[in-house]
Amino acid sequence: MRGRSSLEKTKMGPFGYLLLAIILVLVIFPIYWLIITSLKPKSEWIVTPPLWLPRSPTFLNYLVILTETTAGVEYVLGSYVVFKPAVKAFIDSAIVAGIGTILAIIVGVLAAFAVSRHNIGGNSFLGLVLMLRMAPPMVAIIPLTVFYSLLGFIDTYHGLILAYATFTMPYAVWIIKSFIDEVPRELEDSARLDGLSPLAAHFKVTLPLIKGGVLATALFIWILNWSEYLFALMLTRGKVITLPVQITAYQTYAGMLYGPQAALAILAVIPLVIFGTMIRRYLARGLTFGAIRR
Amino acid sequence: MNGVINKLTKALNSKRGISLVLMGPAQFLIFFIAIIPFALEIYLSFTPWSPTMGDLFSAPFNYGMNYVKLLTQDTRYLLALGRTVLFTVVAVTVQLLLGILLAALVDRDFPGSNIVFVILLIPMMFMPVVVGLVFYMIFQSGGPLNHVLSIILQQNITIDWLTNEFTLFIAAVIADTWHWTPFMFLIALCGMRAISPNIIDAARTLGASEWQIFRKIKLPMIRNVLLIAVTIRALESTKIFDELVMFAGGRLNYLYENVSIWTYIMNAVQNQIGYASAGALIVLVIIAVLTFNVILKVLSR
Repeated sequence: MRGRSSLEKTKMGPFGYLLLAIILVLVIFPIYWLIITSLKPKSEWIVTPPLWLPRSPTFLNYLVILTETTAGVEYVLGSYVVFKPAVKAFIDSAIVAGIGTILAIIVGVLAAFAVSRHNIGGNSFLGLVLMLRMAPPMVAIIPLTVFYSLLGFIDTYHGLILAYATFTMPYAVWIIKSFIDEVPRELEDSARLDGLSPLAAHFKVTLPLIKGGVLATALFIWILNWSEYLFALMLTRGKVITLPVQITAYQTYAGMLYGPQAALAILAVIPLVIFGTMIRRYLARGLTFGAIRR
Repeated sequence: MNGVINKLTKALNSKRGISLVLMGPAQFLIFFIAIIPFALEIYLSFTPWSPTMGDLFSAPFNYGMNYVKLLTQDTRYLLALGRTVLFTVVAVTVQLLLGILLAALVDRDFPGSNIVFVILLIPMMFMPVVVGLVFYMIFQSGGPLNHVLSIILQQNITIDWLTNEFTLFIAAVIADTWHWTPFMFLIALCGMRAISPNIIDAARTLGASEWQIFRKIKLPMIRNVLLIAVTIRALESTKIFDELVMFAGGRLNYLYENVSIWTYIMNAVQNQIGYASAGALIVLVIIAVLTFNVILKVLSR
């Protein structure tokens, strides 16, 4: 057996450090620009040349989107009117993305057991759900809008939740199936000998073993649902309003509200970055439908 | 009471019971939210229906005229298809090359490599709308990009990036590259880290240079995982929409009209639901052929 030292990786040379530094600047710069924009008062949003640091940094942009203090709104936005307070968008996004994710995971776990352990559905089912995910959302949204209008599901929580659950469930099926596949069948078989039914064996033996993976999958799907824009845009009319729609609203109706828009964007992205970093070991697996497993 | 429960447990664990419990919910969701609307879409695509015509079945069957018109006469649609393909080819190629470069760079020994790894993944977690917003600000004529260019080139640069088709395309590629190169990087790095250090060590003992190790060992050995990443990214990048909407700055003036934008305008702005359905279904057929012939095979290898 050879010592670890002989298997050392390549050392980073000066050129490597320089290249890495440049890339890090390019990666971080847009995030930096978003943050400083969110701290700029209105007078500094559009100036030539642009300000690389706010002259008089302020949290008013955050105050404006989180509270409805009219004075603050007038101070920052002048004659602009903010149509909806962003707090509602946070709550609605939490409801829709949260419940949609839970539903997708429950349905996905069940279907993953069916495919992995009982060969129900098999490759044609896996292909069908993959198609649900690969199909352009534009294809799905045209008839879904028509169908939802017939059902009265437009602008409702359950309408958006069902749509989110259905179109993220493919990820749940594929990823969770890849976790189940890694648990030896023999574990369930021996539990069956002790008198457990097949379903009980799934939930009492295999499920506890993969619960970390299921949780990571849930966070992964939650990230997708929290970020979704097109469905929310087409299926809501203002009674339900999610964060991505709210962010674009500052651009659509009220001119360019750079400050509040950037502030809301920061607040909307923070949970994504936290959860995304938490599950970074699972991101490759998630995005490749469980095909890459490390 | 016990008898009932026993019977129920038994029924649930029969073959049909298991199938119903495990597969039923998924089948219900797919049928209700995907299949029924999909059938509706196929029907609509054979009619010139728009909401102003009244109820769904008021439009006459037009014998596939939508499809004929789209594929033979509608240059706007065909151009949108072409732009979609062009965007995918350019963006995915750039992201693949940058991703491999980054992975080769980070797959080394240096202090802080863990933190660098985490930072490099952050763009991937951003929501598309916010990516669109950030780059909308960066690409303003009075924005930071022109400012930097002005300083470097020592003259006043005032390119209005988002107001003509070509620079808008460049801007979209740059935004998408910022957003998704981390994915390529992540997959390439996963692949490189899965290579046994013994192989690299053996090559080094035999006198291989770092470039030879990269070119002859690492690159061929990560080819399969890169194939997965490229196919998934290629399909995903055809859907780009949110960023282009943000780039239009709230106006309905989309200078870089890909298929997503075209369908959105036909559907939600012009209300030509039947015609938009046909246009969307053509794309779906292309994607379905790719999914079943390429992706399903790549994923389940």
